[in-house]
Amino acid sequence: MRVLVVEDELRVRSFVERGLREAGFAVDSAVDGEDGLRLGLVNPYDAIVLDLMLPRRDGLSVLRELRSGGRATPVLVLSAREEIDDKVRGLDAGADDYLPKPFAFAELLARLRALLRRGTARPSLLEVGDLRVDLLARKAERAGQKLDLTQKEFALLEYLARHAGEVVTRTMISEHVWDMNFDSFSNVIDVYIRYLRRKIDEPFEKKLIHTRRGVGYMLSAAT
Amino acid sequence: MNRSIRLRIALAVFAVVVSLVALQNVWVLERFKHGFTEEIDDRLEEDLGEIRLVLGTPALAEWIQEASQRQRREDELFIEVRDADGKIVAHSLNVPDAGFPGAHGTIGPPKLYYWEFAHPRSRSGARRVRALEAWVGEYHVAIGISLQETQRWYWGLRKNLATSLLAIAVLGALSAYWVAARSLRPVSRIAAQARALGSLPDGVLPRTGSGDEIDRLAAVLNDLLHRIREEVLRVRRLTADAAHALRTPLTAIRGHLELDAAGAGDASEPVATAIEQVDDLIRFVNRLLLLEKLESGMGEPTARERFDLLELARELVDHLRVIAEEREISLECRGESAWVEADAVWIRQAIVNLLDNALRHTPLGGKVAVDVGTLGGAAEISVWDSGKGLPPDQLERVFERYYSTRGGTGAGTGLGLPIARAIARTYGGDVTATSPGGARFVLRLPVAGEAPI
Repeated sequence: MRVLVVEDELRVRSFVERGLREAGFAVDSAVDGEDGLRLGLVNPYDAIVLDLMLPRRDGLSVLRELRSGGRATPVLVLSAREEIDDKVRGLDAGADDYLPKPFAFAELLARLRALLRRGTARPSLLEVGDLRVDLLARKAERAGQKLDLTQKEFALLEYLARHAGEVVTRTMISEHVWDMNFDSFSNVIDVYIRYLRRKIDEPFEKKLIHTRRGVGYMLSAAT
Repeated sequence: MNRSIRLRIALAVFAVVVSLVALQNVWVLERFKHGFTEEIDDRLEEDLGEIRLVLGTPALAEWIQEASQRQRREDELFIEVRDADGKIVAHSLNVPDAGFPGAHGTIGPPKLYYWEFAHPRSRSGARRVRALEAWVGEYHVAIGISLQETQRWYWGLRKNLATSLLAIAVLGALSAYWVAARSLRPVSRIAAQARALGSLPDGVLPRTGSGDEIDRLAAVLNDLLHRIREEVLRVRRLTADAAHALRTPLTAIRGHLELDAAGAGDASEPVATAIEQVDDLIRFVNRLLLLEKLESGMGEPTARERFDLLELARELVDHLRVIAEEREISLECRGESAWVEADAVWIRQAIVNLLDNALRHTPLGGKVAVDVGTLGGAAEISVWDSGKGLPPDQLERVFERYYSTRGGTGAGTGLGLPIARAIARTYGGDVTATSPGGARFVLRLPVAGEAPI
């Protein structure tokens, strides 16, 4: 997988590049809009990470030029949080997803993977180790034992299972499972994770739900 | 002491007018008395001159008779003539039997004096007489003119002066009060306006344009307000700039820490703690920038939709119920539909901030009640906790940035309540606090009427 990172801030670009390489991507980078557009038009990237505030040519213009140049490459736009308008404009201009700054790298990675996965068939049965999540029947069982989950708990489990083996952040969970992206002191997600653990992990020796402190949670059968 | 300047000025004017006019009146009365006495003394001299012509002649008795009757009763003339032995030679009929008091002195210069005696024909009894006695040849002549008329005038004048003194003083005090009240009216207006100013003093104090002291004071205060406002805005801009500048390095720090942690499988304790701390900082910076945006008016309502506060409140209460259950807090939501028109995303944030605040400040096993309804054209949602409440001096202060002394569980950034208020104000509402037992925060928004069916 080859990814282009267009970001003028060295401090941000350096860890994004490094992180993506560590995650197994081939990474090219551009430090301004013109450079980014040139690379984007020339090379067949699998995805582009595009900052909006760029020297020489701003991100939105790069995006429009890419699209009018016939490039359908998935684009993840980075922007300052307060530019809510930009979010709308960004999506209109052909961005596929949007990530407000400052962001967690795990979230960037997860969103990028989601973009790359797009279009691939979604299985109706997810398996993580001996845990089976049936998305059609909305039932889950582990080692043949039926798990008695509430709707919310199931939705959370479904989301974790869809991203099995990847770290998902609290922000991602609250956006996708609760459809409520607001700033709150009260950590509802931690409580639900605890409920879920009680039902999925406590009765069994092998733990599936892992906490990545400071980042988020991961459902994985690997230790 | 009296706290009204108007009244103090009026009383002072009253006192000054009374003393000045009284002084003037005393002077007038003295002048009057002096003038009258002089006139009477002249007449006495005149009469003495006339009597000199008839003295020692048979015409004396007749002259006395005529002279004493010539006068009106009020300024009656008294005449008495004695010989060298002190024997009365002739006298007017109105002179009492004992005669003039000093009319048997030794030879000397003419003498003027006052004489008081009980007059048989006077109803009041006592009579005051101005008398002149003098030796004319070998006769001792005493003439007196009754002062009754003079006294009547004097007392009349005194009474009139006293009455007018009172009238002048009262009028003076009233006009002083009126003028003071009129001149001070802008002060009340300025005070009312100043009271309405918020912590960021926007708006100016009313000026009369008359250029008087008060107008000049208003101008000076306006200038001061302007400078304070500029300073507050400058500090806010500075904070916002600092927050802005912090975001990129914070993102970078977070990214590198995260990558280090991920490389090692699970984060080491110090790295995990550092990431959490950076996250706290990022949250704080985001909140600060949000508040900055709202308060600077940049958070202009973009999307407006019609929604029911009750529905929104129920949704949020359900969402946060697990948090309440963790702490054995009973969390209730009740009330009636209250439709508003605003951006639901923002209002949701405001209500979450109020609920977060209530949950943090309610003791284990306590209670948080959410009430929704409409009251006088406003849709209201109130969040009432069973915590220890707020002292009166903190009811406003809790909306100040970084103000956080309630000592609840989990330190807040001190920005949740200011943000809630700023959001409500953006949509023409407000958030206020009361403390009926626990703390009660009420978010009000203009009501949008019934939902179209």
